[in-house]
Amino acid sequence: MNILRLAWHYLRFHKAKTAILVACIGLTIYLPVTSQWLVGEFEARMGARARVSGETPLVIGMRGGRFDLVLHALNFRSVPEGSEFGAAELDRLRADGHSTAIPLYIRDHAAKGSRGPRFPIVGTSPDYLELRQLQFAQGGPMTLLGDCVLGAEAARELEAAVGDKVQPSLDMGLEANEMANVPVRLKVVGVLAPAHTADDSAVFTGLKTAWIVAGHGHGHDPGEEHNAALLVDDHINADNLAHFHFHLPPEKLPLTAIIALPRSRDAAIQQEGMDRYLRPEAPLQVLAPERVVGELIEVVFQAKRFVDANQVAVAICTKLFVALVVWLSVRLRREELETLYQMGCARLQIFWMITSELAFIMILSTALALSGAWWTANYVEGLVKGMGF
Amino acid sequence: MHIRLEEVDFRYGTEGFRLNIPRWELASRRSAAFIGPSGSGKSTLLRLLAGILVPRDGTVEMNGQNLPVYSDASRRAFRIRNVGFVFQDFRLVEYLDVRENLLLPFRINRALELDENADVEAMAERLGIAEHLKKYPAELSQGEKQRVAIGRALLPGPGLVLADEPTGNLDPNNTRRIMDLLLEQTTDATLVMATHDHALARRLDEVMDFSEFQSS
Repeated sequence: MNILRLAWHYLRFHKAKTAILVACIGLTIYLPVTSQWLVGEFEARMGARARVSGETPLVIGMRGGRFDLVLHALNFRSVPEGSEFGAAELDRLRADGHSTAIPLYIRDHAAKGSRGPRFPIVGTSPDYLELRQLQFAQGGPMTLLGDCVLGAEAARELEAAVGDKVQPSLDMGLEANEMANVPVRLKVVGVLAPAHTADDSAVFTGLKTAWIVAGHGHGHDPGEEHNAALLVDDHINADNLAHFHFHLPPEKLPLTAIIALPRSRDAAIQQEGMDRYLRPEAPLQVLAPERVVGELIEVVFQAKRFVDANQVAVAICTKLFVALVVWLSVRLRREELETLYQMGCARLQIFWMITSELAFIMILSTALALSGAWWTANYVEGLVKGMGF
Repeated sequence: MHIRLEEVDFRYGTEGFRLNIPRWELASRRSAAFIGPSGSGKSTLLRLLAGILVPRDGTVEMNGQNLPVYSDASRRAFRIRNVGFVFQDFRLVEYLDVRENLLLPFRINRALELDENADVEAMAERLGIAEHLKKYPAELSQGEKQRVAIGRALLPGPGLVLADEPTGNLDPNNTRRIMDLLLEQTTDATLVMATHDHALARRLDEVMDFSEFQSS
């Protein structure tokens, strides 16, 4: 106990020296812990994506970034401007007969207030919910125009349940919605159980509802459809449902991706090999997400191997650094330690005193490192999510 | 503490410094000065008396107990209970305040007990350092540091006080005061002091000239 007291006195007296040591050792703990956590988080998310990618045999979208298209289809990450294509492709796919086609149109977001987190509005067909085998915690699938189904996290963050209405982001809605003065609010008809995938943070609607939110369709007040008055009420209901319409032909309404589920292995080969996707000048491409995600995971594993190698180097450096500090400390304090010995202090007690000082420093460093890692973890989690993973 | 040395032969290594003392004795509560040039073996003998060093041959007897035959742990136990050290360079612990420096022997030795407050206050009063109890060594003058060092040596009530050049770092004025203090405060103990200063040595009961014993 008294030895601990001496150790504590020493550290308290040498505040600056102790602070520098704690900061240095803390940093050498913080960096590998945080990077390990970052890679782990990334790996976990990619693992979840890999599982989903196994359920998503083919994705069709505008030619361009392969990762962009796959992450858009699997993770609802925004696509660059000009990535929309006409819904006619959906009809062509269905006419080909090789695959079941599930359309995706993701452009807008729902949010609680202007500063809250934003959740992608995923315009799709109910087939999507079946494809992912999503379970309902409340309610059921969207059936009418204006209906939506919330992922578990979206429901929690938007504080919405069945019967509530959610608001598309005003900035996005008003900016692009040239035909409505206020974006329509969506009626929640179902809330999904947690799936631990990107589906948790999505707001699912029918394709037409997503088009209306984006401003490609609108409604009039009942009885006033000939004067082109815009919908005054800001949500679709039984009275105004019939008054919603689109001014573009259906084949020109936009999609951002199509998930294709080939009926057989041969059908998949045929689908992937279709000339309209393979030609270099073709506007559309077809991708197998599993292969693309596999490439991404390989990149992550390479990064992890690099991080692991660095960690070994950092661990060795830390041990050498601590050993050097102890050695220097003992050298500098040789006279003091010799005095203690002459006064009757056992060498073992002196050893324990130095060890206790080191233990205090390690405890403080670890506490500092873990606090920093915990703080960073929250930031990094948002960062990883924000990157669309 | 009664000290008796007989045929003491000490050597650092096989070729190094050698100290030979045929016979020397100091009665309990007496004082003695070891005088001689640097390197003559004064400090070495103090360490032999404390049981820190062990001679190759001979007797180092304390109250009839021959120290060299005991184990390191036993000699350490003897040191804790019976020996107080005063060093030339004070050897105060820089990160402890005066109070904790005075209490250091008790902090490192569980065998020692004291009435912490009463004994420390009384010792500080006797040494004239009562107002410095919360100061750190760096805040004290040389003379004050040596007073604290003497207090630290005396607080456990040792039977033997070993002082190695205790005034070596002090000016003449402080030298006289510290010497007075040391002699006043060690009337109940045996005092052995190593010094270069013949005038100081003459104030003690006996003087041992090291040039008689050393051979190398």
